Amino acid sequence: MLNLFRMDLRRLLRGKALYILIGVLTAVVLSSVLMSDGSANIADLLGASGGSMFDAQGGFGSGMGLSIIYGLIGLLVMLFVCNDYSSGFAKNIFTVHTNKWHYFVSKLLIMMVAGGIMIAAFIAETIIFSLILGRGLALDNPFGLVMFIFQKWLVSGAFAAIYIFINLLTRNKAVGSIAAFLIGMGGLVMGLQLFFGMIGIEGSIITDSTIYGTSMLVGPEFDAFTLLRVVGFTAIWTALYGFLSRKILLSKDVN
Amino acid sequence: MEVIHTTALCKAYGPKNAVDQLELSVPGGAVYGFIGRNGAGKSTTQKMVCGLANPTSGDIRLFEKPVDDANARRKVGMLIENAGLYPSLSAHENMMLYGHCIGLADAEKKVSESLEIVGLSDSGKKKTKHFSTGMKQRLGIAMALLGKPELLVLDEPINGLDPEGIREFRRIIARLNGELGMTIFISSHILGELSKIATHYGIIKDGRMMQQITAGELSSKLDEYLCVRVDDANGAAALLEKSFSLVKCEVQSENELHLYSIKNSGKVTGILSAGGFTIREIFLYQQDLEGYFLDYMGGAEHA
Repeated sequence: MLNLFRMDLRRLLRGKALYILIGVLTAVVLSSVLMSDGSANIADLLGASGGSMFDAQGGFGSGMGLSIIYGLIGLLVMLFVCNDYSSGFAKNIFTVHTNKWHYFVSKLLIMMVAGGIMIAAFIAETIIFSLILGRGLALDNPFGLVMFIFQKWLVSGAFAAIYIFINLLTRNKAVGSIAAFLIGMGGLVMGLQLFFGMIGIEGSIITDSTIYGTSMLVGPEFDAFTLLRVVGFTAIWTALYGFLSRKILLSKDVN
Repeated sequence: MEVIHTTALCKAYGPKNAVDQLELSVPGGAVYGFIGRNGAGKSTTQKMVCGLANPTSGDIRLFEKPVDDANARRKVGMLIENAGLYPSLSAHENMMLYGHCIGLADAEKKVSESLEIVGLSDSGKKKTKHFSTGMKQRLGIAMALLGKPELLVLDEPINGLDPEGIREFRRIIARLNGELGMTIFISSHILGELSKIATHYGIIKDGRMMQQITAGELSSKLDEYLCVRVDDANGAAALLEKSFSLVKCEVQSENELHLYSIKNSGKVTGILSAGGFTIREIFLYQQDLEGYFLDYMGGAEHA
């Protein structure tokens, strides 16, 4: 497993994909700093609005902040998994690695590394652009912000798990890209919420339990109960998609 | 020791069995030529041996262990259908990734050595998507050899290689088998080339093993006869049968006859000339692997 992780780490750091995605992040950060007024603090720029997805405080369109990395991780998973299969390199991997579970774990870990790098880049760029453009760098609750970042990063594992599953199932770059957009940007969950609203059901209990909903629970004020929910839902979703991914890996042939 | 052994191996795609009750035995140290027409089940079998396809039923043993045994599979190198290469990476980077994948120590040095062996050390930063088919095949072979496997599974490895590349490939296989004792399980349509390196053969048809044979057994089965083209084949045959009582003579047409158990064309020419026959052509025909395969498959088809 460590060998696969080392291989993926080299691929991540020496390939172009991560750096292109960081370029995308840079554009997003710059535009959000430019659009912010002078009173916005770092927590606002990182999207630490807090509460449920549809809280009046947060609101769905209040800016993606760090949540944009979930969509970018989706694109990275698509590139990693689909290229393994389309190039035939998967044959090299699975001839030697009999335990197919290792493939899932390696991809999951590498995506969490990539998520960590993107979060670090997002924060650094936010600070740098704020300083350059003369925006405020107010930091009201440093501990709360650190915990916010940690929880956001933790949920990236569950996002990576569902993306790995979808890409293993379809091995299709178009499907992988659409999944990254719909799941990572919250389109799917928003659709669910609207559907529940149309049929007159309070659906936030369900949608808050989804991976995207879990990621939106996190706010700038640290709350132990929220942390427990985040850890719990992340673990459950990651385990579920890990199990399903393993099923796919065991049942589908490598061509 | 048998390096590969399959028992009643089956692989079904829908209602059709691509591999059907296959019994295959590859002894250690062999160069096993796996022969069959397109769609006969060669690649599917090789994929199952490498753990890339799941058998529908039956059993595969590698190095006398189950096919999913991690230690056994670590001894396998493969090149099946096409080289598995990331197209946007260089040859060196692809090799390095595979080196990490198999946990190769001192990967940088070993990768450079392997690229040197297949003549790709000067490919630099050129992406593999810009490689010719032959270059990709050579790189695939280098990759398969990277971990010094004990079993090498090759599917049509000389496709796309130029004559010089084919000769080099033959030399590499001979060295791997002769000096390192590597077992090689190879499928190829280029039977002339295969016959120069194989020590064992397996002929597969419609997913079923038709025949397994050693190179020695095969050579004793290959036809060998004197082909004589003459103005009156029937008359010439009668004369020769009178002159050589033990020679089997087959008249093929009005002007052609085949003589078995005799190789002395001078003696035959002398007798026929003395008998007043005009010889147009006389030569020793030796059936090759391709001829044997075609005859065998034709025979099997009509059986």
